[in-house]
Amino acid sequence: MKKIFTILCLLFLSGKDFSYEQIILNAPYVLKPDTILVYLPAKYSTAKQYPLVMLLHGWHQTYKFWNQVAGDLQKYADRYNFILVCPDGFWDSWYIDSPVNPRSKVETFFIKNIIPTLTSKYKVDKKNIFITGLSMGGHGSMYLFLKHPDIFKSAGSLSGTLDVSAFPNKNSMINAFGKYEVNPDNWKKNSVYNLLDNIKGKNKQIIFDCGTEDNLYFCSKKFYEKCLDLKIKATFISQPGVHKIDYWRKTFENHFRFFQSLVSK
Amino acid sequence: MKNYILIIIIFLSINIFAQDIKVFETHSIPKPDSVQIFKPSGYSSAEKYSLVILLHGWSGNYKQWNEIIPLQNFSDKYNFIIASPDGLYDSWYVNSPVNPGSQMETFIITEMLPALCEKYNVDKENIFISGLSMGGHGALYLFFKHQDIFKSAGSLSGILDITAFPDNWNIAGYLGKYEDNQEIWKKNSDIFLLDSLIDKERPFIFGCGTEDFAYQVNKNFYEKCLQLKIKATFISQPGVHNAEYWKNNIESHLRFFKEIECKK
Repeated sequence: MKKIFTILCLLFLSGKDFSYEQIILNAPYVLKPDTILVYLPAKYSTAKQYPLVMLLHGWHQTYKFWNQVAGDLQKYADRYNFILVCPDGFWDSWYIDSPVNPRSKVETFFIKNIIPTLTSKYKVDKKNIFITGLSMGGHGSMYLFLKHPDIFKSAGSLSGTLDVSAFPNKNSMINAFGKYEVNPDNWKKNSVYNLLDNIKGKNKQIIFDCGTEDNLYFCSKKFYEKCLDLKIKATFISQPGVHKIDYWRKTFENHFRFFQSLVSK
Repeated sequence: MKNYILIIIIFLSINIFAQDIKVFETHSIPKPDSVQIFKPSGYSSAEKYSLVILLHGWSGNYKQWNEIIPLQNFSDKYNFIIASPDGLYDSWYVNSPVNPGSQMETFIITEMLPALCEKYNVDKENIFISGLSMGGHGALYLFFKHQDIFKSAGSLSGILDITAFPDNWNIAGYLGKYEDNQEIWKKNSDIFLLDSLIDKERPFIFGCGTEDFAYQVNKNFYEKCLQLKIKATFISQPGVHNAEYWKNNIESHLRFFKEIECKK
């Protein structure tokens, strides 16, 4: 009896530990089905609506990476009362509609497939949809936000590649953007640095940070200077750090706090 | 019976407001200095606590910080002893070379801190200091001058280069006229003290609102940190020089201190 009880307890506890849901979505314009992890707050009730925060991983990572950064994302879903969502970014998609690969329309897939699926399946407060990401995902979150400021209330970036055109022909980017010399515009028009004007005068707020020893630091610095020029309300945390998981671990919660401060009452 | 309830209420209120006011009378400074001290609710003489000093801004007093945020709550939340001294309106927390009766730095370092360490269970390895405006200047000033005492420091909307404001806020009353005393001003200006940081990896934090009149000196200060490869954390964000900004941002300093607090 005692044994059965213990086993039941363990099952119950482990069920609590792994309380995320997994969704697999497909579309004809992406290369393969996309896996999405969803963490609902412990007190999730269908009678309420919750802010949604999307977390985008970096280059050569998967939908599982953010959970490694945070240790256990469930804890943060509970702490902030957010629905946290980790989609897969297809390895090196850069979260854009690739101008050179018709089977890699990831922006369209996010906007037309993932977000509508989430908002119909869960009690999402559509006025409070946020997005952040790290490295390639920092580019991705700013990109999706700047192209769709009507959908996202705010966005963040950690160590983001905030100007892809500063890295022409980087191997990690050619699949998504094509060869730079063939069409440099494909790089420039998809650079979040050049998309910043989209929110000029829109009273939108963003947050981003970068480690000063990170090779991408100059991107964030340049991006911030443009925010100041355009009078975009940006919070920039400039701090010691490199392009590593320990850095993201140290700083990601700043983004959750920031989004929480913006949630409409 | 009624008396009994009254006694309970008094007892509770003492416990809830675990705070003291200590008044220092000393020849170092022209007036007695009030220091408000907040102890964590679970304060026990068997434990040691990190100490956070919070310095107020120009024209403020020792009550200013507690009016901005409920310090007792933060003392409880972070398990810090928080002490808020009086900066005597416009002392700039410096030792005045023109007024021997106004030696604020000496008072804080050689009188107030030892007294706090004696009266409370302060973990001397974990003494932090932060402040706003004049107090932001004061916190970094005292940190740079006494790197052996403070583990880390913070500044919000700090006047991180007083030489940029030669005619403001009676700084000249303590350091003499800027035109005639430029070297003295520099010796007391945070941006010129940056070179004195012995360990460039030593963490400290500062923030300023981009619409704040102090923004430019904060930006200059950070550029100099980058040049000198000093590993500071700078939060640059929307905001002006007001209580709302300080209220929304002081907690990031407490969190920062908590993260670098020595494991006991």
